[in-house]
Amino acid sequence: VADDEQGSPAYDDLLQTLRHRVEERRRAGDYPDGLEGDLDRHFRRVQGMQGTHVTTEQLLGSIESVRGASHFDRSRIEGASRLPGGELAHRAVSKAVGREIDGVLDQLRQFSDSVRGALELLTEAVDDPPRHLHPDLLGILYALDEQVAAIQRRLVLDDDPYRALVARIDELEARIGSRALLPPYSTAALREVIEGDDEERAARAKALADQVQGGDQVLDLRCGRGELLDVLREREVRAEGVESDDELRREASAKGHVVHGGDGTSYLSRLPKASLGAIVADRVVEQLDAAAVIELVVAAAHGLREGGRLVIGTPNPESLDARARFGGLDPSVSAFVHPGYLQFLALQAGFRQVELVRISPVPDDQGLLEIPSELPSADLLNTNVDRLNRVLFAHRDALVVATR
Amino acid sequence: MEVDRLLRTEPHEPTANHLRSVVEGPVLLYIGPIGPSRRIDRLIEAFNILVTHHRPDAQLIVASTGGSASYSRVLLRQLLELNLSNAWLLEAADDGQVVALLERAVLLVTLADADDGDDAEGEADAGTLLSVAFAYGIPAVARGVGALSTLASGAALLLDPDDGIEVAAEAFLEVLTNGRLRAELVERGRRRAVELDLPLAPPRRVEPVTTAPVQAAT
Repeated sequence: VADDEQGSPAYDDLLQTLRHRVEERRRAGDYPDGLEGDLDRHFRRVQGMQGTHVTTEQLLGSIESVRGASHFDRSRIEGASRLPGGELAHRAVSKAVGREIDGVLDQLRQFSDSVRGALELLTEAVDDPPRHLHPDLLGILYALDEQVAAIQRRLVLDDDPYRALVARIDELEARIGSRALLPPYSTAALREVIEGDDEERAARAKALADQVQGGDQVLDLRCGRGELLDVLREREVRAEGVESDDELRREASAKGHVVHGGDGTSYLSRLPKASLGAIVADRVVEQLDAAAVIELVVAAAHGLREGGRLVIGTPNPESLDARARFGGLDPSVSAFVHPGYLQFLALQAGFRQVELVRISPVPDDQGLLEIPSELPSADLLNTNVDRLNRVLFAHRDALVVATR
Repeated sequence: MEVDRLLRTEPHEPTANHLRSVVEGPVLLYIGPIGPSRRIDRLIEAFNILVTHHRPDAQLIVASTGGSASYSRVLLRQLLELNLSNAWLLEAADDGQVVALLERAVLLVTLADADDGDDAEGEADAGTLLSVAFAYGIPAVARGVGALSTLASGAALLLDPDDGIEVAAEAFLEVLTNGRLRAELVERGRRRAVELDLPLAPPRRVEPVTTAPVQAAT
């Protein structure tokens, strides 16, 4: 099968092959002659066995015509004759057997009246379906009536709360809308500034990929341009992404990755329980409020299967360098989230093992320099330099790796 | 039938259990309303060829989400007269049942007409079925009529409107047994789902139907 996805020539070729194969089977006698026609005729026959339906209108019309014909009277007996003297003979016979004829007509009238009464009763029953003596149909009708009534009741009763809810949502939407961040720059452009050059991003993606090594069905939340997805694909790990920014999502999709739009936690919560091997949320939690961080970790616990990993990457608040580098640089960052809290949260959400991994070390040449050892009090001063370096220039990022 | 709603629905356990313990062999699935324009009769005819000549172990499940009761009766009679004991007509399937069926199906199928006017609903239903196939990563075979040609081109195996039921049966057989084609249809389907902004079910392992085709006695 060829790789042309846009048009259908690839499958056109395949279909052509299938058609040839059908011809060959016909020639070889595998398919009997006229197989399709036989099956079609069979279906038409089955369809024809449905029988004709008599409508209520037809039945009523038929009963009405019976009613019109049930008028019995001696005067309606034809006495005319084309034979000479025939009419006279008819009259004589009629007179001779008049009593018997009247008797027969009386019996017919009685019978007709009874039949007409029965037909009228039947007409009434047909005209008024609930009067049919079909308990099963009545049962269905009553059940449907009950359902309709229940729906109507619910609509009436729930009307006010429903309206109140809609009004409340409108109000909240208006508030959120008025506070929405509508910058003149794209998220993609800002991420370039924050996350550094291609090399830096690739190194970070590899560090993240190392943490999900061995897993499969990885979901990368806020996957950006798909750098992690690239690495995972190279390592033959099945992975998909979620990205709310359209521009970034398009870029990742253009590289052939499956990337879902919208919010990562919402997407996660729609997935069946224990359906993923790993979830990566890098540079996500610091953009969420406290409730959303909890929702994310709980949803991840739900979505991961036994042994699956949640990897949360976030700027390390224990590093003043990280604070200087990232603090205020991204206006969507609401607050640094301490990895200690994330470890605690993951354990409380049901993860059985949680580790903290520090990545992105500050280059040595950017830290405070040690004093030459020959100077007085060098040891003491260098101990203090070391302590300061650990506070000022600790690793810039922390990874919380939680195993389900 | 909405993809989003199906993804939020847990499978109906009795149906899932029945499928696990009773239904063996590859399952071909149709989901949607049933009525004359959906041409379930043609689907049954193509399935009849598939099981009679190629895969006697194949199963067809027609899960109706509404439609004509009298047409259902005709279909049941058709199944009975063709002696297709491995075809199952499930009337008024709810979301839970549909999800259970989707988890078991290896191929989604429809041969609905969709040319114009009266058949517009048939086309829409077939479009929904294909969307479900893409979202759930299940290969699909359909007739390439109307807007379906655009919706599913390259992401599902679309038969020409003039192709008969023998070609349809051959297409079913090909997708069931050609592992590479199945994997490709799944991958393309999932990509199309993303392009269409459809939510996706978690990827499931894509496998060819490993049982070797069995030549039935004819």
